[in-house]
Amino acid sequence: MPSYAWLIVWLPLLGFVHNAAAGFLYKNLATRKKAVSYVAPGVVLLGFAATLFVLMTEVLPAPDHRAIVPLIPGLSPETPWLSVGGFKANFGLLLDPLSMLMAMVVTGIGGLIHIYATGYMAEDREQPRFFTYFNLFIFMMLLLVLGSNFLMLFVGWEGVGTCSYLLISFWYTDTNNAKAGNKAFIVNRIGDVGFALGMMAIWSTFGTLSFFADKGAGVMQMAARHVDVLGQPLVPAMVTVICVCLFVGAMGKSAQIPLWVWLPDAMAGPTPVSALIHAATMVTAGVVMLTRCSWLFVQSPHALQLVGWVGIATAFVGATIGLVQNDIKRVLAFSTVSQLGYMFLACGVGQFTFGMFHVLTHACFKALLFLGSGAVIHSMMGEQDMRKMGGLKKLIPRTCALMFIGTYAIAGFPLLSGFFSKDEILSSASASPWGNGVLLYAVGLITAFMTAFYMNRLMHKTFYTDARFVDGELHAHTHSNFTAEEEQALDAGVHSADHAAHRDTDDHALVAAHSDTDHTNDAHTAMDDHGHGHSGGSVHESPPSMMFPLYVLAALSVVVGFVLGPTKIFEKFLEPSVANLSLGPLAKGEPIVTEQMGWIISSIVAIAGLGFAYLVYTRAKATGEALSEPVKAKNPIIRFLVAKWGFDIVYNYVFITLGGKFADKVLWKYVDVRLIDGSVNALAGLVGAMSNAFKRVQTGYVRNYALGIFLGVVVLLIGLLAQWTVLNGR
Amino acid sequence: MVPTSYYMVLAGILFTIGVIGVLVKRNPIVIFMCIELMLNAANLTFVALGKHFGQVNGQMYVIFALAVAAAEVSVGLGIIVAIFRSKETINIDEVNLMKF
Repeated sequence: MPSYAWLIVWLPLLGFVHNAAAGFLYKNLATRKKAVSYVAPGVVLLGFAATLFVLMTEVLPAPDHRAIVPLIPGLSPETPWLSVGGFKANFGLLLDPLSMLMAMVVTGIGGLIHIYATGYMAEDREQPRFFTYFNLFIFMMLLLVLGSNFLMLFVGWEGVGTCSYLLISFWYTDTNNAKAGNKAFIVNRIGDVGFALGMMAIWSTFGTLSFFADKGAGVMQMAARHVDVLGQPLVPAMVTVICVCLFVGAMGKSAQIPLWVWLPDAMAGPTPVSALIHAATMVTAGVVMLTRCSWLFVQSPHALQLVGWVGIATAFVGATIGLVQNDIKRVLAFSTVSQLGYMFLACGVGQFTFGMFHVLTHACFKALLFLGSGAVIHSMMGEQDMRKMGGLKKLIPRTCALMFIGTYAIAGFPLLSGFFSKDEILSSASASPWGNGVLLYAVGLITAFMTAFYMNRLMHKTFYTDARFVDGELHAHTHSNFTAEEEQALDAGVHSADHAAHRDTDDHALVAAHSDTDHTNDAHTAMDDHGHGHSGGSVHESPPSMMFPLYVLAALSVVVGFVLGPTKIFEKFLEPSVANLSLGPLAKGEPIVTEQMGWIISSIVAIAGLGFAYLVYTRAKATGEALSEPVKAKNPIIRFLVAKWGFDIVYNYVFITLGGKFADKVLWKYVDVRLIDGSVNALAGLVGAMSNAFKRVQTGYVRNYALGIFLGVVVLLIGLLAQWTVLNGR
Repeated sequence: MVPTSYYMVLAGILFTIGVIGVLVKRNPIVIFMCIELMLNAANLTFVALGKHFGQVNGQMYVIFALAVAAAEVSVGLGIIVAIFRSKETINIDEVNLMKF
């Protein structure tokens, strides 16, 4: 039976090509935007439909729920993509519950965010460019999750990194955005080196990069049998090396300590980007990759322990910094860092399924929260600082209600999705296979408390406290690469070009050109009247295209948890893709609380966090500030948190200042100037000196040269004679 | 009948005279004559050995060599005339621009 899985991957690429070519296809800006706003979400939603179809017809009926199908229809999945010496990589898609789950998240939630973005980006002149990158991102992300070997995963891995860079610095005329994009790209490269080394280590151990293959020849299948490519038993140290290298890659992509610094800055991109790439999908790629490699990780106690400690530390640090942020998107960014820490904690204690469950629930409620915050920002005409918000509950009640659901879901309010996924992580952390269960559980709970607190703080600062702005007198913070004058100039430029073209080709140009101009002007006026032209100054609800995805995501945030969590549906679904701890040397510990006790404790902590924020911020209803500015400036803890635990300061000092000095004083002035230039110059000098010595030979007297030739011939003849004598034995 | 080795010895003597002439003389005309001497020493061996082995090749090569030598002399003399016109001398020790 032919497989249709290739459709999932190629559809977004088709959208990408269409959007990239939109400038050629549609000359009129308004038409172009309209076409793009249908095609871009359309291909992703079709991809979602294809994913569901493939899940039903190909994955669920397959033995082991696993199938390897071709990326290009008609070719065998074993078709080599590249083959260098003994190294081979295939063009294949791996269909199993894990890849299908992620494909559903990417196309489903991605599709909703695409719909949202059609509203959010409607006024941007470069909307087609935005959706070009967005569709390319979906394509790359699908390659990442569906690729049948590490190399295809890596292609997607780098591809989503590129799209992330392009979208963070989408409004590139602001240098800060461009810098944030650079930061994300460069920090990710550090992780990628680890990932590449991990792939090399896998190649040298297993002799293949395929996850699964026929006759048990895939990496994971060999790992399950504890053998390497030669059939020898696996060396535990080698497995640890592989796992640690892969985890370094995951650290970069999933913003874990110490490589987390790029994610908060990545909020410079448009809000749909933050929701799709920096919350719901790309940043979870690290967790997905770890889960994919769970067969290796469960065999390395050291690697698991490293993952667990990094995870819990990131969860804690991220949450503490989230407490003091004033930018609405930055609060969410740090909460993303923190929640990713939870996911890695789950992986670290060997419960990859729970990590993936948190990926799923987090994708729902964090996308909801980001899109909701985007709606708030949109309503506030580009304002992101919560100190200048407040009182929005009355002005945009529907957005407020949706954000409320998201907040309670992430805080782990009982029966919402975040509650189940977080509780599973916490209870498995308390049963950590490598000890320290009590510590992990306690820090996890404190983090959960802080999560509830800062999320409710966000709600209060934004919606419930008194307004700290005058409605109707908002100043627009437009995000665009063009000023109003430039926009007009561009429109005029388009018109005059049209005029010229018509004059060249048609004698009746004036009539045609005239009607064309009228048409464009109409379209332009219509857009200005569209309502949210950033010109009015009063707060308003967002357009339906932006609200609809919010409703869907809110519904998902509520139901996903209790439908899939306690019923164990999710665990059973993912079982064929995830290795069990029993494969490795470690055994699951005893949880310190029973399941019911865990639920009660988690609920108490979540409600306590929410309630504490309620108490603090109802008291500060007028100002929206729990502490006054001078107190904040003096308090060392708050200053420490505002400085983000000094990560950026230390990195700046170590890598920029000291690194710059090292590059200047050592690498440039010593290594480059003295060593490299010096050795090259010395060689040149040596050649020069030798030429100087030998140039005396060039006397200019012909007879000297003739003598040289003569002597040369004599020597040659003597040589020949000697050879002849020897050969003839005389 | 004169033995072939006599021709060889004669050719060797002629060639040596030519080489020494080229090495020690300063007048390019004389040097040219010495070069001709060396060429003809070679021609002599060709003819002699051609006779010795009963083959016609040797004599054929001599015809070639004579033709080439004639052409070469005309070019060489032309160069010498050109040098004399510009430098007012044909002492080759004074024509030594190509040096360090």
